[in-house]
Amino acid sequence: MSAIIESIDLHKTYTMGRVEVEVLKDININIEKGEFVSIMGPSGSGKSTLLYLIGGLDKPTSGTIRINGREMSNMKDEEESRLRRQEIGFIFQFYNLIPNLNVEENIMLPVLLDGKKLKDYKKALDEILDIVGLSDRRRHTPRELSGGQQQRVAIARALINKPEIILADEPIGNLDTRTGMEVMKLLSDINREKGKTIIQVTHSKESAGYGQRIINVRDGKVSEAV
Amino acid sequence: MKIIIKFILKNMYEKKLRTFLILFSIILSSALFFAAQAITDNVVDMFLTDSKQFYGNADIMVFPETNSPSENLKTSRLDFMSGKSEYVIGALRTRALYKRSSDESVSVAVRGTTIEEMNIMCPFYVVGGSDIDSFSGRKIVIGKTSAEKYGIKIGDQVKLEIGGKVYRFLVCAIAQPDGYFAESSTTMNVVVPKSALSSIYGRTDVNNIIFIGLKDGVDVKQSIEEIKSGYRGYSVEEPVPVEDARASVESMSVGFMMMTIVVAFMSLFIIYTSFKVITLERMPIIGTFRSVGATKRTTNLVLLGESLAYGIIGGALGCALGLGVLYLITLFITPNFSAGYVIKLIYTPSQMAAAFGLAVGLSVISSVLPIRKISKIPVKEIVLNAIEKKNRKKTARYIGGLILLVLSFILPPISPKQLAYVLDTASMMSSIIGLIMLLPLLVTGFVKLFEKIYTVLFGNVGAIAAKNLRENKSILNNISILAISISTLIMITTISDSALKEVASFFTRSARFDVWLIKPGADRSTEQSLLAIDGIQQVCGSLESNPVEIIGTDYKLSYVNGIDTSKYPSFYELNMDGDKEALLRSLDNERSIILTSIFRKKAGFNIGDNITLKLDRGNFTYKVIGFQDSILNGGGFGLISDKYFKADTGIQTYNEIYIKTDKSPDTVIGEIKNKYRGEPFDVITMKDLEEQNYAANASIFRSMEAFAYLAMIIGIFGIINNYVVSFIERKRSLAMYRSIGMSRGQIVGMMIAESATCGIIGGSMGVIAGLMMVYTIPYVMEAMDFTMPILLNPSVLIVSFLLGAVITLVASLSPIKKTSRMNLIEALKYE
Repeated sequence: MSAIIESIDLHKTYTMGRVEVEVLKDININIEKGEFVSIMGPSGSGKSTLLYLIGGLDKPTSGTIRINGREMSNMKDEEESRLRRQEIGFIFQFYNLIPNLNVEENIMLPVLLDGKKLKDYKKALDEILDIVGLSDRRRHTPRELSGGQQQRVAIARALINKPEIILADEPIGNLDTRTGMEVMKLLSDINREKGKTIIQVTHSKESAGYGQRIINVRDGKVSEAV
Repeated sequence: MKIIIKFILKNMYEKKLRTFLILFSIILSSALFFAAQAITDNVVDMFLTDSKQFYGNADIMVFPETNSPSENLKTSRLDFMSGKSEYVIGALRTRALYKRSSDESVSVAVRGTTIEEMNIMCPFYVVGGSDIDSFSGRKIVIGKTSAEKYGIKIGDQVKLEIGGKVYRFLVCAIAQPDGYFAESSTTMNVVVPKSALSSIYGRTDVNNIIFIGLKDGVDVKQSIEEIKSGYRGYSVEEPVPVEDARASVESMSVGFMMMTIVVAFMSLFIIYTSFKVITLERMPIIGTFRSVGATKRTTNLVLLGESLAYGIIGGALGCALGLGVLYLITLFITPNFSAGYVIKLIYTPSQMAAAFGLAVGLSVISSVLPIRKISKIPVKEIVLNAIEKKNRKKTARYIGGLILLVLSFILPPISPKQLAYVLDTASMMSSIIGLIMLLPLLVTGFVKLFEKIYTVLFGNVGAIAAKNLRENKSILNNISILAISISTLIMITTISDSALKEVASFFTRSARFDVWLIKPGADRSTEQSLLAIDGIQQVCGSLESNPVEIIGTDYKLSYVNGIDTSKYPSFYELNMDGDKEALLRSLDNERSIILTSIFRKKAGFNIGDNITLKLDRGNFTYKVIGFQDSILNGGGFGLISDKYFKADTGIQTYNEIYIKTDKSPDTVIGEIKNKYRGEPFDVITMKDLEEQNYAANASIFRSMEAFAYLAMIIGIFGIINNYVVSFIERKRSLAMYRSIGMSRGQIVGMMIAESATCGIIGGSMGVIAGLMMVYTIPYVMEAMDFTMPILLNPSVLIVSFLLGAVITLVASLSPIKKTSRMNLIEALKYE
């Protein structure tokens, strides 16, 4: 298998007041296409920072990240945004849905941003709604849905543009155990059946168990566990 | 208690922009309210001061007219007043020319009196020179303003031309520029010894004016009647009719008060929306307070304490600013002839207390609803920050809004006269309140429309921008603010433009002469001598009475004009229904009067009614035969035939003379000035008069427009505040857009489209609300006994609409900048 994500000598330093804090030190990881990887570690260890650097939402202080062989540090905002629209899907702990848009509209946002026509994605929308089990909730607004349902909408939104990579930041951190496991099963199915590469940040060992590989981050450094 | 106060003040200090916005709204509202209350007294004082230059503190004055039995007045006839008067002083007055050079002279009002008597009537202070103890011979006291203007010093000789001869006077003192010496006009006021002036006239102990100061509590009107009986054929009158001055100023004050209400309404809305945010922000703290045992009442009082603090600080600062606003308005509306008037800032403690009360009331009332709302939330929900947002149906709100809108259309035409002013003003307010209540529904409709338009124009990002406006409270608030401020601006600009146009066009429409001359004592011989001047084609003298009571009613005409019916129509266009010539003939045939349409609406007279006028020679009944459209003097005058005028008033001299020229009016004026050098007269071209009238009215209306712009400034700060609040609330959503692939450019584009849409909708709502207010204006005007055609200038609508778009775009710049620089991880990851 070929590496879809590569990080080479990745460093990230934040300045907090007058103090410089090195959050990530010399990170070198490879993630293969179709892998389901969980990033674990204590609070403040730098795991979320690593995920956001991979997603291009933040810039490394030094080092390189390659997505499908393309170096992100050389990308301009427009190209990086297109990459997030077409090749990466994000899922967040707090769902981050737009409250005044309904389920369908929330899901179709990446399509709209990509300048595509909604009618061309009607079939894809039906299919995704079916996968996440929300076909009967398509006209509802987020405030009319439970936490689990909202996270399913977020998953559907991450999938609509058929990206190869899904980045999930504590996707079940805000859900009860049963709902959390249902969401994890859904992500696992997507990974297995659709061949999507999934990287999740999690505190939960049970959740990490749905993946094939665990990357531990501690004090800004990584160690791997299978 | 100390902790609570510290807590409140700290909260206010931490949110500087919001605190500034709330205080700014309160300060402006109370300042404007204070100024609107006190403006009447200040403008009346301005007129009184202007008049006091000539009349001092006298309550009554007696002076001869052209056809009076004698030029000389004896004070002895007033001995019967000794018990009622503080003083009876006879003096001499005349006009002179101060000869600065062979071709430059200045008009001078000369008062011949003694220093002692001058100090009783018009006390003055000497600022230079002290040789006034032996005030006799050819000596003169001049005012400081003239002394500085013409470089006159103590000991100088001043040449005055009196009755065609030049006399030299020695400057013995220079007086403080106050009272008689305030010299707010171009005329120089001087005092010379009475004996010196008498000797110029070749007589001793003569008076041509008597000043009477009454004791406190003595009725002025009754005293005038008593004095008249002893001075038949002389003018006995009040130097300054205070009540008339007050009445003419009060309508202006009503205008300022109406604008204050609008500003206060805007402030109410802004404080209310700000307090909604404050109460939401304070939730965790309220939760903490409640969890440690504070009752609902306590937490409510803490929040109310905050609003009270805003009210107290805003009220105190508002009263201080009010003094400044009052000064500026008085300065603005000071007419040219009172340019030297020193503004005194007259106000009562109760006016200041009312302004302070408004500030506190405004703040507390605006905050009560949000505080009440939060007090109903269960403690558990507050502590856990898990407040359920109820998606309440807005049907009742929409029905209420619709009812208010309908009422604002129906009420003005049907409201009874006694309640018209209140109901019409309420209709004006209900149109804007109704529209605000319907806004969510209207905005949803607009958004659907914009979604389609933007998809075509800007692609999908445009469509997202339109979708984001749905149920967005900040946007709704901004649209409401724009609607209030833009509609106010449209309303006041329309009133102002219409009134000014009416004033400006009145003379062009009605007057068919070129020069206006006022010359005391003018009669038919004056007309003849004017006709001898090269360039004067035709002249028409106009007889004018003093204010005329209409017996048996509460109404009063400012004056009655006695007209020569054969000449008058060619000098003044009579805008009236019916056969004008026949009506004018009727004026000569019987005691009949033509009133104005404004007066008809005010007093409710009809054609054929008989009215009894209290004229100088008794009460006479006149038949109302017609009504003309005229705004002159607020429509408070009537036209009668000169035949009956002379018979019933005894007045034979013209108050003013209208002149038609076949040469340039300015050249003719030059000739008139030459002819009447040294005599008192006032002459002006119609063009200059029109400009003077326009300028005097423009300054009043521009001051009122300033109120509307102040409301708009409050609105701009409100909009900026809403955008800041909206940015904080939307940070996460905006970061999410970036995470799913929206580029910086797309985000900026989306936010610009959002604010532009808000501006377009707000501007449209403002224009709609403005049009609804303009619909009500004629009814409000009518309720105030004033009618004029309302001219809606389309460019005002376009400019107001564009202003809305520009304001929102500018206000959104800071959030747009912040969005493109925000930390995405922080915004996405943390609650």
